[in-house]
Amino acid sequence: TVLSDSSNFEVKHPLNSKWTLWYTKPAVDKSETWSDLLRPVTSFETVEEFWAIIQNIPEPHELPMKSDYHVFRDNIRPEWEDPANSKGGKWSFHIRSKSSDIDELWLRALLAVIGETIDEDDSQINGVVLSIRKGTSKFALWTKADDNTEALTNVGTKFKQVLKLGDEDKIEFVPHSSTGKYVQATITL
Amino acid sequence: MVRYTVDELFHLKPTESLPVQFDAEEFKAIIEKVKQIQALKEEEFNAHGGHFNR
Ligand SMILES: [Zn+2]
Ligand SMILES: [Zn+2]
Repeated sequence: TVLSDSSNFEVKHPLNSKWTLWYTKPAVDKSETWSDLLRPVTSFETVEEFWAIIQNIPEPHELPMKSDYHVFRDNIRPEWEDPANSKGGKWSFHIRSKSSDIDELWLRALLAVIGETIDEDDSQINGVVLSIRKGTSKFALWTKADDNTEALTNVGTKFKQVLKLGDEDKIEFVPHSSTGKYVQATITL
Repeated sequence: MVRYTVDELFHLKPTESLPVQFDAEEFKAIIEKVKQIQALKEEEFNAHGGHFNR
């Protein structure tokens, strides 16, 4: 048809990777398992598709408590068990859930991640997560490796700029291998 | 590697809302439902003086 032909002429700006938006739904009854709660919502590989999604999903301040948004590269699942994540870790920043900045900071974090401006050379970033909780919510930037201190420090420094953090605000890097046992930050910025 | 600065990405934001490849209405409806259930639970909790009466 004329309509679908004309849409082919729209200029779309390709992203470096395909990305998938995942949502963790809060459990509302006990029968729900983890695989019922964590679900891919949709994927995108152009700037225009990204904006279309953003315009059609609730902003962070509209999400119920115990929700997570995850945006991960290619077909990486947003779980530390995924082979792409298993040798990695995450930079985390905690923010008061009442903060009016969460919507804006989440958008900035997404734009920095999908625009690939957090890394200098090849990409260390697997994905980014926003966890909405009562009291304190959390931003987390997931990396593919946990042992390249110099690269991770660069990534963390950039992540702080993206989140507009000052020297007094602290972010921590924790390898996934230490999560659940003795959670210990290996780098703090 | 294809890169875009945050500013470039903002400039590429379309002025009109574009269609998406998933059921956005269903997604929003699920979220609204969860919020309603959470609000009801909260209300019940508060009605019992801050504890659940089982
Ligand atoms: Zn808003
Ligand atoms: Zn500008």
